[in-house]
Amino acid sequence: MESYLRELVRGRPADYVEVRLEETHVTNVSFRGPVLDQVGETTSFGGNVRALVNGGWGFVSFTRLEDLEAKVALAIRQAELVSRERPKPLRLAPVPVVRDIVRPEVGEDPRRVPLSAKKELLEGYNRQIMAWGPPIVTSSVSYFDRHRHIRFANSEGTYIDQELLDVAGVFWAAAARGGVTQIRHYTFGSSSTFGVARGLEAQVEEVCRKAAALLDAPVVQGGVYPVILDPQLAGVFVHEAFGHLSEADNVDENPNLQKVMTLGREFGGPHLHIYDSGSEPGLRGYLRYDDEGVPTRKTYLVREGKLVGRLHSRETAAKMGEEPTGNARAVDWRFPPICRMRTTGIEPGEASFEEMLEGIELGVYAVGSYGGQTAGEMFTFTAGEAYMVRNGKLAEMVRDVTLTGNVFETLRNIDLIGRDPASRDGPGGCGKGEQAPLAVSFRSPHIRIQNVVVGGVTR
Amino acid sequence: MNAAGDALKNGTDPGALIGRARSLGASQAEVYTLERVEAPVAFEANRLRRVSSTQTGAVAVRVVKDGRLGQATSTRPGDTEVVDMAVRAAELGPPADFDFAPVAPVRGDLQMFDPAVREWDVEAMVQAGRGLVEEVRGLADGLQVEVHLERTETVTRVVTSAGQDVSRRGTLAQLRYSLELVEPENMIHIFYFDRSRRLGLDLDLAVRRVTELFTHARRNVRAGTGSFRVLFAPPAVGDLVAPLVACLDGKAVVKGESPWRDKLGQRLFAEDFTVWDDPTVPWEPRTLPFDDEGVPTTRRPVIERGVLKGFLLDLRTARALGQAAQGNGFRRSPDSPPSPSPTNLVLEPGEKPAAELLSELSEGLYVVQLMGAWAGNPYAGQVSGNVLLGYLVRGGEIVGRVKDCMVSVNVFEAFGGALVARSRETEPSMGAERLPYLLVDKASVTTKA
Repeated sequence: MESYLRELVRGRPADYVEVRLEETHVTNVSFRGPVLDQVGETTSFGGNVRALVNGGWGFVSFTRLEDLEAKVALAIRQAELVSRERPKPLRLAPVPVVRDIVRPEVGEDPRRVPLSAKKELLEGYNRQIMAWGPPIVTSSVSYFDRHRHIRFANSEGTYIDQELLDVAGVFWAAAARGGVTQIRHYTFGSSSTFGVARGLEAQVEEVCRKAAALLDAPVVQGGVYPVILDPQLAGVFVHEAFGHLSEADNVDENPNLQKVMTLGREFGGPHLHIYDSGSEPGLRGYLRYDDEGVPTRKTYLVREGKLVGRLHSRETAAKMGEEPTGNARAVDWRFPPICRMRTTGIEPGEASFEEMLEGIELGVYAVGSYGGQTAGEMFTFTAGEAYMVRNGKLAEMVRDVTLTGNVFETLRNIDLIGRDPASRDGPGGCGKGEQAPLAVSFRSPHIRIQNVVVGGVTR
Repeated sequence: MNAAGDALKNGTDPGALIGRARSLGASQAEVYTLERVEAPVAFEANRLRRVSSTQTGAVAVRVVKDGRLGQATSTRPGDTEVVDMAVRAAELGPPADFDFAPVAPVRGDLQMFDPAVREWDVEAMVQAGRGLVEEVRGLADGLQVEVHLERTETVTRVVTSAGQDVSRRGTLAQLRYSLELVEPENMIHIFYFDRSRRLGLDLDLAVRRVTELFTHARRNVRAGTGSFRVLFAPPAVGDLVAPLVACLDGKAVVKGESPWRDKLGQRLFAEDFTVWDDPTVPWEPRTLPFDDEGVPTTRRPVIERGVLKGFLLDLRTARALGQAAQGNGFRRSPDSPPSPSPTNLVLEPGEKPAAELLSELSEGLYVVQLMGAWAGNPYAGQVSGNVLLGYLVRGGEIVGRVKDCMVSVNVFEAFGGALVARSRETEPSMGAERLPYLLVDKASVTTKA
């Protein structure tokens, strides 16, 4: 395979050619309410060829492996067509030529756990939710593990044979009364072990209790509040609000955005440090080489409140005269790599949770996330559960808490950063363009932000 | 560079796979095959950035063995091992509480395949894309235009051991068009989406619409906080109807998550509110004669004059509810099992053109796009989103763009009465729906002071 792929991309009439073949095996188990919904297996085999000619890219992806020569030729023809429209040639940022074989460091290997044992474990959680009693009416439990084997070769002589492991799941409890339904969930995930799915009985109990409690919680009164985000929500926030803006392929050909995202510009207080890293072992965002064969590294985006870096592919690094960072990722073989995050985080600070509560007369403590979204400088996300903070103390639970704001203003409004960093992976992923869901992780402590718009009812 | 025609032969022989399933002890089997070619052309930062082509083949097999359901998917052409995987999965699988599709005739006259889409060559797509960039790039210094044009041709076949053997061939042309202007701490992002199964995207309308939305967005104004009348454009209406789809979903109904389980035949909404599940609308993206389980699709109201008439059901949920399947079992991708979802969701339009609804709005908001509105709990009907693109309207005129603003609507209440009007015209939302503009009374608006 290695010599075949090396040969395929060598000496072609193009500035650069790469080929990526992927074999993926997925098992999944899911329950919906009392019934087993699915136990299944998927194998997929697919690949792609990407070619660069005089600044233009061509890309061909396929499930049929025959005639790869013709696919290389087609990608080169497409690239030539694009190059006619582009005024200047492009050199990719230089990276070391690598030959490497990467195997995941596995704790409990999900491939060695029989499907029947996976089913039994999850069935236990599901039974626990269903047996909780009123007002819990139903459950949903789902699990997958995915093993990807990626072979990559490029015309510069790099060859990487990389295996990636991904394990994740979620369980939901739904409570209903008088035509109102409320749901709460718990997620787990790992890039190294099936163990992350074990021993979650206490979390199941908690999810049921929270779903039931949400039924009695009033909808939050819309307004502008000081808000404390728990580590999970703070992680989603930094991913949505700042991570996406740092993806260099949004910036590289946009002079106005380059002015906004000038290195050295101040985005927050000296206590604010934001990074993206491929090297947090065990997290789903862990990655040794990106999909251009570039070694990943820890990249600071913000240090002491100032912009110091961004997330690059070889193309964007070259165009902006910066170092490649190993952030070119493709969700699978159907797509070319684009600038994406891995594990994005806020470095811990000094504040305790009590200090954050102190000094809030009326505010919101938002915990966990249903997800978030960003567009330009605006972001929004929804809390899984939330509490009012009154006179420095946690008070009643409220629901339907959606937070929104302007990224720049919100980063400046982070006044306290906790000392309790935490990560929580889950089965979801990041979406950009058509490419979703990509395995990414978050890591952050609690943070406190002043003046956040919270949507809810208004009277 | 046009190889769509012969690229759509799947290497799978469904009959042989069903035979293999039987020989491994399966009492029933279903084979789903998909072949797709896609050719996208992408302009970024006002210039052509990438020309691509994608070919995807897949086979998904479901079997029933000893009363249990098993499934497996493979992208290897001609793979027979996928049957063995499905049979293995059946040993642990859920009870097969339904049967795969029996023989039933499907319509052959739906407008879903346009040879002109197949013939739409890359050079023509590049030319169309360049035109869309040139038409608007002069609107502002530093304006970044993105155009994504794509043609897709898909062949889907479903064969069951009960004798159903149906296939469909569909085309789709798509446009994603966006304008972005970055100013210090103020970004304008206009997004437009259109799609059709025939080669008839209205590019002039696209240019007109983004120009209009962009021009009005140049001036920021402040909306107040309180309860306002809001005109929602189809992309935002898509977020408002999402809770309806979630509550109609047979899985949520069977599980009791949907609050509508016992409400069939009851009035839930206002008398003038009707929603169709319509697989027959000419050239719409979900116009198709049968679903991914091989069951014929049906044009029918799910909510008729405010009364709940039916749910969205696949074979499994139909059996669980003791109803006939109506052809709403669709796979999100070949490797996810069929699950209830609408064909083309059609919200019955109203009398007045949208422009008239806007001109009658004395004080309120015009919301084109929401952000993050999908993230809430759909079963309570509460839709809450950041106004990604919205405008303040006074005396029937747009005065400027509103930002840092959340809109919150309980759509169950809105469709029950507070809905003031629907527009005469319908337009694509972000999904498969074609929806009218909706004028809603008393939406909660929260703006940063």
